[in-house]
Amino acid sequence: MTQTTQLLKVSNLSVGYAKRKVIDNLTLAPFQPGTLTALVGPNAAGKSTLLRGLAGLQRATGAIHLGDLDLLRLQLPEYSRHVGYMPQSLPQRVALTVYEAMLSALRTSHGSSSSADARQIALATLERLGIADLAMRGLDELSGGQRQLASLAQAIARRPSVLLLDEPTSALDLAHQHRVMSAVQELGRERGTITIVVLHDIALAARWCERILVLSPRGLAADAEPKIAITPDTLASVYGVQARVEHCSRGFVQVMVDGIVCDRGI
Amino acid sequence: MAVLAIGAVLAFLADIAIGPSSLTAMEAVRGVLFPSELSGPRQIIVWDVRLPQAVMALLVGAALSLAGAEMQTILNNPLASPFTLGVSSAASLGAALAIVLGIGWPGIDITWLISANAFIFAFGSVLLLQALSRLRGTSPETLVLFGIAMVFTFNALVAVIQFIASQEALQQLVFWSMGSLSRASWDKIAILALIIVLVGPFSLSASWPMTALRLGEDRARSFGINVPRLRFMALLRVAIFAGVSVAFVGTIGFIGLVGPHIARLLVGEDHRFFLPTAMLSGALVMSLSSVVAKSIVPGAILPVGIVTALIGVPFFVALIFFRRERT
Repeated sequence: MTQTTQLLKVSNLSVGYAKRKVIDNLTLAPFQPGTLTALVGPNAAGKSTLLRGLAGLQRATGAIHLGDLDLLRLQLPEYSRHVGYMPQSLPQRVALTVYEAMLSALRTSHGSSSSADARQIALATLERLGIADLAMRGLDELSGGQRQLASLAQAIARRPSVLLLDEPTSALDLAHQHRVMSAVQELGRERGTITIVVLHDIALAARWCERILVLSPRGLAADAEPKIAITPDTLASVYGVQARVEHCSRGFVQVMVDGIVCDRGI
Repeated sequence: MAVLAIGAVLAFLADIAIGPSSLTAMEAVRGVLFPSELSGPRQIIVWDVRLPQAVMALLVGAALSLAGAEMQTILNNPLASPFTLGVSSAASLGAALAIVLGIGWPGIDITWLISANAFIFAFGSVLLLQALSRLRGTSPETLVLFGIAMVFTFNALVAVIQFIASQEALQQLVFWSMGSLSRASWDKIAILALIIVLVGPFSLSASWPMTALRLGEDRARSFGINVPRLRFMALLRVAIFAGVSVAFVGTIGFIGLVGPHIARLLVGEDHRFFLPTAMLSGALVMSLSSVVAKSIVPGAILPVGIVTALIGVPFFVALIFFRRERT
């Protein structure tokens, strides 16, 4: 099994629209292979925009290097070979089965797999995520948790070196949150994938991720391991909340919000 | 798919067998298989009237339905079709200019003037949609709204032309806009068949990216698909299929809408199967419409465009209720 061994380096990255930069001149410490990084922050901080910029889907300037490869110089088909992206949700009313959706992900990618390979990879991926029994079910028939797993399967099937997940656990119950994050962590470690995941739940981020990037509308507020990145001061300045940060018996960060420091509006 | 294909063949045979002349069904079918067994006039009825119309019904149904299926996918809208997004209205305007004002294109023979004008306007209307799709920040929703705006604009212009038209030209225009297979000829059949054979494979070869597009534009792009280009090429194919079909037989509503929906219900949206099934269901519905058009009034053939709408409207309403119940 091949493992990614290259670092992902982001320097002087600006992402946004023609007239407005949402992310301005952002430089981050290199991302190590096999690590899981959470991207957290309040609404409108630019988390999804940054993720889309890293995925090559949004206008970006600066540099994104995977090993020696300058990703921003690549065309989208080539870019997508290295970077996988999972949007927040699957669209509704799509008359495709889980398996058909997987095949379309595999057969459209650059240097796409042959028909037989695609079938084998699709089934192996579904099996790996424990949803092989859903292969012939329509996407519209799935529960929220099953849809997220099917969606994740499409993103990881092509074995990208970098995997970007936009709120994969939103609207999921505790069991499904655990299932999705555990699958992401396990696959990342096994394949050496650099995984960056946007999350709103800070405790969930601290539980599963080695590193947390805290993004505020003013820029990057923290970039460190959970115990260092998540502090009452960071939460007050970024989210505008008065919060206690404590550690559970297993050492994971827990956040309890006691009040609002200042009214930041919504 | 096999059931649809058998259904289309049966409808095709019924289409040949039924007609206002005194020819029996068996005579008509035998006339197709063994032309020498028929007398001169009967041979003409079968080979110059019934067969071209029956073949044209299949081809136009397949082409319009394929155009509708591709349109619905690239615009992410189940109500998109050449008819609902202005292609047919544009063709009507082209035909109206030719019929009423004699406005056409230099070098085009008078017998082809109406068809040529209708095609150029239909093609032009899709190019307009395309031009809009190339603008930065244009969403599929904007394209659909623009298409609907085109329907109203072209219809208004046709109404203006109708207002100033002579009695005779008005009658001709009204008949044209009803859509009729009586304009079928072997020349037109050859052109449309050639287009389906030449352009159809491009539709089928785009099956995977089109299927992936159903998973959302961002996701499709993350698979490495150049979505703007995919949309552009699909709209170009829609322009050709719909433009030529409407130019040859006039306004035929609902086939482009109903055909893809039948296919979706039967095989889902894996475009490897969805597109051919849409073609088959479009051909079947069009062929059945042609049969019904010949059966409603004894001794007369109603313009098929009226019948497709009569079959299409109940389906359309049922579809809306079905969708509402599911949500």
